[in-house]
Amino acid sequence: MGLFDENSPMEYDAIVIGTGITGGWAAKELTEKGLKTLVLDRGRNVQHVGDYKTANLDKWELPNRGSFDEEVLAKDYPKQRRTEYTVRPEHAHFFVKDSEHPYEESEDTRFDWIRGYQVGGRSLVWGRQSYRWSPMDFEANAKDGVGIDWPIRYKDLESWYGYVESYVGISGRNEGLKQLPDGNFLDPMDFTCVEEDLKNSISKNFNGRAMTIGRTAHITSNQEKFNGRGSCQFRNRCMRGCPYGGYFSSQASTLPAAEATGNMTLRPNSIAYEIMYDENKQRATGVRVIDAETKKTYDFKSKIVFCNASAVPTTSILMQSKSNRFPNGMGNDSEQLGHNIMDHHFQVGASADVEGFEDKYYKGRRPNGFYIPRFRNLPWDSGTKKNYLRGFGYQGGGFRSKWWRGVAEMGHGAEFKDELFKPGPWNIGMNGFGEVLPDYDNYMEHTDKTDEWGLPIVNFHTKLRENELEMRKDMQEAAVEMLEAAGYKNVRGWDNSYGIGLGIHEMGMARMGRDPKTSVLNKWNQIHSVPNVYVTDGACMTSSACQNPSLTYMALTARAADHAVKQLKKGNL
Amino acid sequence: MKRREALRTISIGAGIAVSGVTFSALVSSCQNEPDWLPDFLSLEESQVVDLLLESMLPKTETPGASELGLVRIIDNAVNKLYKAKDQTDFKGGLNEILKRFKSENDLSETDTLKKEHIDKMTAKYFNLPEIERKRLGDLIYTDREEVSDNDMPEYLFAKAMNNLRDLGIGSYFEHETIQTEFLNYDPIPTRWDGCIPVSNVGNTWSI
Repeated sequence: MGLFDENSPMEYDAIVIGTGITGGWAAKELTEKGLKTLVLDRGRNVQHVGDYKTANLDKWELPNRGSFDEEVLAKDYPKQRRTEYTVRPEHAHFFVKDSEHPYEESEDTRFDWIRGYQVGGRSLVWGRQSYRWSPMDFEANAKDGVGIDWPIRYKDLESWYGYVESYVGISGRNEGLKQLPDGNFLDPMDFTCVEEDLKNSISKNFNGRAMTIGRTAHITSNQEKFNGRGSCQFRNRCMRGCPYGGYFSSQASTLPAAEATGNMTLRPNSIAYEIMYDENKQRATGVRVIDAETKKTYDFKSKIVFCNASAVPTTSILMQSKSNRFPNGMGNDSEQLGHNIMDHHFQVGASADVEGFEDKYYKGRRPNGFYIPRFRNLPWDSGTKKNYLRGFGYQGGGFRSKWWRGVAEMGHGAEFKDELFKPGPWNIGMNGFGEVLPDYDNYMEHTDKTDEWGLPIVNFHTKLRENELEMRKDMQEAAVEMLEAAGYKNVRGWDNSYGIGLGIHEMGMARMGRDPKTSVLNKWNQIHSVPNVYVTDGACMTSSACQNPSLTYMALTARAADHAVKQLKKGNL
Repeated sequence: MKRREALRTISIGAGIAVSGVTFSALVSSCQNEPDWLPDFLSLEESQVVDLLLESMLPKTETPGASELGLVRIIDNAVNKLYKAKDQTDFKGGLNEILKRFKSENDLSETDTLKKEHIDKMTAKYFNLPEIERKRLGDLIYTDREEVSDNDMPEYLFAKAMNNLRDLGIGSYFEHETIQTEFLNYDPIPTRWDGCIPVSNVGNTWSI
């Protein structure tokens, strides 16, 4: 890649802070439109393929055969381990250590801040589920009087959804649903036999309620259109990095595109900590960076700045960008910066055993599940109204158990052992993903403490409120109801522990809006009062809907980059 | 070589020191020089663990626990991954297991511990009456601090038996030989077929 070196310039057309899912898109779009762009990431460089060291390792080849080391978890990952899966030895190196990157939580509150500090960010390890928002999602705040109105509507983003879908490569099925618009999809993945059974049961017993296969950023057809990326091999080892480029990541897709233009200079190990501001011009003039390794600081100048550091760091950078004009942080005239933290609340649903499909199985490891789109509080169907606002979708799967079922039994001996070689009973489960409402009292702030680089440590104050708690009851009951209606056995509902952030969809701390008095960004993702600074990561979100957010972030980023380049050419920035 | 000799010397006494039971049968069962020495377990304990695992996961048409050397994997796992207090409990549990072999089979110190003694214990433990199983299940999930002195031997015993079984099953089915030669090993499936006859596949997928 066009890596920064001592001969690289200190001045650029644009600076992009961050190389995750939105930073990669900003880099691609800005460089393809001709802007000389400096792309910063606070973490180490990760080369596509070459740095996916664990991609092909089996259990017995991993350190400690892939088992956790309790002492290491307790020392380095006390908070990151809350997900349980991110700290696994096969991909823990793509997540931070709390011991190196501490944060705080206010008393009696919890925020699960799961981070990946490296080039590519969390695009290397994301869940890859990619859903459009629908018209009702952009209208909901205005309709319900919650938070503030979105300054855009679905039609403003529709063509950009199509644009990013075609480039990302998303496998899925068009269903013609109002609450989950169709898109430009590659071939859908199959259901398992049991999932097909559930889909038919739900459609029959719940008035045509939909269940579809997950829409996921994997190449399943038309592979030749994806610039050298390979098709999904159904290994389901995605979080280790995919040597085939089968799923979308910055490494596999957007950064190589930016690199190919010759306009990108990539600087890893570069912690952006302040956006510089010229009071006379009322514009940002560049970005202050501390080198993560040498701890030397640098001032890079640019005409525009794209903030794509992910929601919390972007907000933190703006908070640190203080001046006479912005004593409380850049763009914070509204005092909303750092507030309205949202996520998707989940870890609530139901599971069951399924009989009658013992002669069926599957081949491959599908990196995807089924999806049941929202069916509550649909504005066009009064019968779906509930005692809370908004709604949720379910993600789930139906598979046969393997040998590990033996751990739960008290068996032993020859017969027991030989039985475990055979495919076990079918289980099916679904996990709800619910909308979190924006609430001013869910916020982040800087403490007086500093990290290894002298930068302020963040404290969080977040918790679920009444609406989410009411919704969770329904999320469990409705899941139980669907599994029981299908005639499955041993249906068990569950509500496991969840803290805001655990969904790793944190968003909302520099929201878009129509009014500078109540929002940080305008309808083009520009800071109202500093129009040459764009924020297009999760920080920009005005509400959370219940769909996984990355596709929307990408569409907003492409749209904002297009706007920025046009405005720059007109001399407006 | 020095270390091995040293350990061999120690092991004769260690069986006594660690288990608290003068149980020379174990030592005499190992007259040949071992080709491997445990890091965490004593030699005697490793032999008991090996026998227990083989009893739980015996050789049939598929390999047994012994020939896969599961005891080595478990010795390493307990040594490296267990917290110190869990290590102590595990040792305490093995000590209880040894005591029971002796008392339940009325063995003297010169008797030889045989496979049938081990099989008898595992069969008994894994076929407890429901009410007894539930009692033990509740006991091992009790906070350790709340376990009475009276219950402690049983607590340690049941916990060690369960841990051995869980570690045994896990390391057995995640063993390279089992995953690649006996289960259906398909590291790069290249395709996904959601609904096919199980007869096309046979044994469960490894991964």
